[in-house]
Amino acid sequence: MQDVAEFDVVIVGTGFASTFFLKKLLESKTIKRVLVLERGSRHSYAWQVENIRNNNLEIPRPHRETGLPGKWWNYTIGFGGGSNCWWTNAMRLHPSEFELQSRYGVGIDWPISYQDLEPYYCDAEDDMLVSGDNSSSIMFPRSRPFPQPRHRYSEVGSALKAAYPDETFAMPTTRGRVANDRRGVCCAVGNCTFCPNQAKFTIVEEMGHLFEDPRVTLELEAEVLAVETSAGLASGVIYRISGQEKQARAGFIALGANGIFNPFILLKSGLTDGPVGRGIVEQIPINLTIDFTHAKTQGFSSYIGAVNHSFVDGPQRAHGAGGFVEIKNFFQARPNRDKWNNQASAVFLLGDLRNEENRVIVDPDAPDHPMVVFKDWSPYAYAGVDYVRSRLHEFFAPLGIDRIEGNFGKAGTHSHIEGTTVMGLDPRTSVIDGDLLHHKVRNLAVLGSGAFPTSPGSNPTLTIAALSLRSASRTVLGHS
Amino acid sequence: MSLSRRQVFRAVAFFSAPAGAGAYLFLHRPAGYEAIKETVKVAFGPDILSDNDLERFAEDLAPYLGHYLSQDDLLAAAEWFKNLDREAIATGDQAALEFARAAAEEAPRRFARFVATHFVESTDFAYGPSAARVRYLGLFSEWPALSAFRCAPLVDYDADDGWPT
Repeated sequence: MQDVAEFDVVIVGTGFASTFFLKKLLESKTIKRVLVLERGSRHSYAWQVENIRNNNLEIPRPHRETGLPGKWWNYTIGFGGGSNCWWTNAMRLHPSEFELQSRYGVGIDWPISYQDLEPYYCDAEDDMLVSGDNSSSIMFPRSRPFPQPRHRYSEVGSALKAAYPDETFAMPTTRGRVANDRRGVCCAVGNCTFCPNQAKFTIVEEMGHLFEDPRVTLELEAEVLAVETSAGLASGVIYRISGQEKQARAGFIALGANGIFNPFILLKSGLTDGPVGRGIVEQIPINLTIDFTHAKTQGFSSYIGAVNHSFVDGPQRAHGAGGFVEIKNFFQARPNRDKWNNQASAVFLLGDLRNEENRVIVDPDAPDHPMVVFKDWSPYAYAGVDYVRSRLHEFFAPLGIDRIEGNFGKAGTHSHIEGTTVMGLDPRTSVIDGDLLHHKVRNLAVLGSGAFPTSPGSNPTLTIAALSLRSASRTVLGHS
Repeated sequence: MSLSRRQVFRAVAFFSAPAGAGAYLFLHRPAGYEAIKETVKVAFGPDILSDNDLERFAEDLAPYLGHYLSQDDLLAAAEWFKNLDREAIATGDQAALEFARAAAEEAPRRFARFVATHFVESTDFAYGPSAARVRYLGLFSEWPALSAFRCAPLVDYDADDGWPT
């Protein structure tokens, strides 16, 4: 062990959770020294597009996984984390997702409500210049308008909007609708992982300046090994850099690795209180190819146009999962010159309840690495799939359908790792509280979607950012 | 274009072979290659590309079939191809074309969509779908075919902008 440096705050990771936490933190003049530890390297977005990869790691995902065949867990290690490869959907969670138990007697209520998070949703949307549809406030109440205009629907999206006007909106997204000094305009070709126009929000391009703040020390290729505690409080972290172990002391520590590595670090640190690592989950998908009688896939201004929330709420949620369906503008022609463009891909993503048999553990054969054990989604998730499946033709009928072809609940990944450091009121059934503070170690925050007590029928990123803004505000900055 | 004896032999071997071997052969000329050409004729009309462009398109695309389609997809396409009335299609017989198009959207639809998608992405068809004949611009020639067609900032369809001006 070598130098021991002192900091006000140590933040682990540079993805959405960590960077939004840092952003809020730096608003305070009382914060003088922040250490940020990033396991990967820093690559400009131009480097990523040129090299067609988001990082330079030989093993991009250093964990092992077992269980349901075909199910795998995706994330990006490197400066900016998932913002490098994300497809930029920036949805809020529906208010019902925060209170499934109260409304429908299933799962567990979150310790915070939609109203608690709403101002931070607005802040995160402003920070990321989200393009969105203000009329969506009918389902997702909002106190400020979106900072960018919504994207344009395809003909298929317009038909869906006409059929379900109060439940269909343009997908909120950080793909540029209007060019500005930060971002180009989305060209809608659907190559978002390596956006050719730099038309999407990335931390590398748009929040990298935070790490240039003189108060911030950024250590790259620094692998955090453990959180140290003393007298019931976090006292610092041990990390490895250039083959050497180092130690940093801090008055506050925020873990923002991801939903696999946050619980792994806690387990390696002996912080095993509560269901650490237990309950890993992400949305269950339904992938559709739909042939339309009249509606065409054209006229859109972004890769994903319309999103519909008809299945997110309602009495069926007592029995099965709910979620959204997005119309993708993935181009695939029909073999018919009169209907060659009358086709669209659609994806339902339905949430789930945590099952603690699905978990992140320390790999027994390689204790320096985590292992994910995922047996399956819950019967609640599959009941949701069955419900949607039974309603599909009726739901799409107003659009005029020639054929619907579907893959129901096919295992894959959506890069949403949830439920492994769950937040709640009871330390016996949760790891952190509603401010993302560890129940036992009160100067340790555990950020990210691992905090989600239920897997929502939604993309998680905006909520991750909003939770981090709220956590930093209420913990380190002391606002309530 | 008539088939050579060797091509006929390989096609017959394909259509009578067990599934694995059949799919293997279908990936290679002439069966997959001929099926691509026939799919274009069925889907977009027998004269949509010049013979030369059609040959080039099929030659370019055939090697990718096995990368993107399953054996079941290829076998379904083979069965569809086997039952085509190719002479009627070549003359532009509307009834034969309609029948073949409808059949192409059933079991062999993944194969047919794959070919149709690459046809649209590789030609200027999207700019003039009513044109009798279009040009082959090269496989995966995303520019100017696909990107320009789909890029909203470059091509405006006069659709609802969704934002007050």
